[in-house]
Amino acid sequence: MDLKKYIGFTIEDYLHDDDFLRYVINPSEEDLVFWTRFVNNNPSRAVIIQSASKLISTYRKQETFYNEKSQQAVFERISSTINASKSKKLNVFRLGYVQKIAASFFLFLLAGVMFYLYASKVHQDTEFGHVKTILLPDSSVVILNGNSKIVYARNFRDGIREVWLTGEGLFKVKHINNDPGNIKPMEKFIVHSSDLNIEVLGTTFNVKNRRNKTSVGLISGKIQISYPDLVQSKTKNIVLTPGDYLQHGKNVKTVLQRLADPEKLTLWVNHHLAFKNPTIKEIALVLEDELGYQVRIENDSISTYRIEGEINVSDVNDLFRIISDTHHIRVLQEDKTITIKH
Amino acid sequence: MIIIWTLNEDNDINLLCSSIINVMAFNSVSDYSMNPDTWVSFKSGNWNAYVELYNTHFKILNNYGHKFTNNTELIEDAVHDLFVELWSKRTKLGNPISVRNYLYKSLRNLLFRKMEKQKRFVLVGENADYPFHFEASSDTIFIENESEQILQSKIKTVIQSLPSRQQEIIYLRFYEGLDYEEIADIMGLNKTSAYKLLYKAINKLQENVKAGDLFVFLTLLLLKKSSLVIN
Repeated sequence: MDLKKYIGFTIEDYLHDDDFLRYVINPSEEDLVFWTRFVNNNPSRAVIIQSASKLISTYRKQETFYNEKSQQAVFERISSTINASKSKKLNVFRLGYVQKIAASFFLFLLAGVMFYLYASKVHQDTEFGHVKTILLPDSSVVILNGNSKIVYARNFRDGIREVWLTGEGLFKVKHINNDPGNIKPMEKFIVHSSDLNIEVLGTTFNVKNRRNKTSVGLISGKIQISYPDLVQSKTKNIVLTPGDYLQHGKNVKTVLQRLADPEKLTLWVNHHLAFKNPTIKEIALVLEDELGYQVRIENDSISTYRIEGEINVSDVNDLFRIISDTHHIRVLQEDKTITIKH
Repeated sequence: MIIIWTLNEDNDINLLCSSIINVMAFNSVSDYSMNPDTWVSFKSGNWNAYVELYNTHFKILNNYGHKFTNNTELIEDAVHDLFVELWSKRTKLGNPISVRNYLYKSLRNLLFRKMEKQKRFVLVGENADYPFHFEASSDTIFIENESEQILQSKIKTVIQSLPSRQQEIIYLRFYEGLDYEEIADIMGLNKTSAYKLLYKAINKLQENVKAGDLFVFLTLLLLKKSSLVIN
């Protein structure tokens, strides 16, 4: 330290000087020697030095807040937080501030897109036991069986006509192609089910998409079946002719049959319950899927019982009577629960 | 049977002793300065070093935090957050020149954020600046004589009339004994602004605690001293 430096110092200068501050707050041996010598050599500066030092030391006489009584408690809280975060940190994906903003923005956007997609589609569905006729914008007609649903684009007429079906529906598709040798993609009508796609020009057919299985019966016209899943797409697309009945599903082998009387597929339209050589199990599934019943079959052997011949009834009670008469089994109904037993 | 029982008792006594030692460790008055190795060993995951870091700084951090708020819970929360963060980020931390200053700066930021949050629920007066209050209750502090008492109350009045930021810089300068660079770092200023701010504050302090107050006190003091020297 330079003795000469301090000769002209004012109180303010001293307050700005780091070495002087150290001397007042926490003097080293060297500091004490230096400042004692300085005051001895320059007695006229003593008052200023004293004033500066007094100002600092008086200011420093402040009440302290050490909060010692909480020292241990706060530490215990810290270590329990650390332990808690240790155990969960492994599987917590932490996001930074910017990432958080980006993520919430993205979610917001996603919600908007999803809402748009939802709002841009028309949803039509039916309750158990109800049949509903829907006129599509291109004046094709869909008759929906009970517990079924179709979804199609609001701007249905522009571009390919596409309908997504769950449940059962009878389609009467309007023919808009005038030149069968030159089919434009815009003239197609496609029905999507969970298991297959049906490409149509103009025709009437019945589609039943229930329990991961789709059955298509063609009544008139011509349709082509394709499969959306990769494995099945190796199998060739199939073109159906009237009377063809195709069944395809996730865990079911594709079956193609000929129907003697394809019109029977449409009997449900008039609230008819129609079956041909059905098993009790098949009847039970229809009761559950279309009419919303809960069917309990007491033992497995009963469900394999077959009723020979055709059933064509419009009332469920008639159906129950036929079942109980043919096999001498009892059909008990309690609200929406049906129990079939010996 | 008897032997087993004796062994158990020994264990209990050991447990008791170690818990007493723990308690004592927390209550021991600690020095501001810490062995620089402690920081390094804390960063490598040494829990004892972490505990030492905590015990060395808990009191002064509370004291600093108390300058901004009287809400003890808020200060403790900020200290809690600070140390939890230190532990979880220990491997990413550098080696600050002064650990204490680093902790001051971090605590200050945490506390400000918490106070900002609280502000949304509590009506805060016209002071858009952050609060910083010079400790007013000096009654309990031992004061040598009347003239010093006058000087102290004068200083107090002047400091309290300063804007919060000037009060804080005065505190960091004369209570904590920091230089401009350290002050600038803690308060998030550049060195020039720190200097300007401190210059303003000291100037006002000096202006208001005029020679009058100091000299009344000093003449008394010097008279005493010179008589001592003569004797």
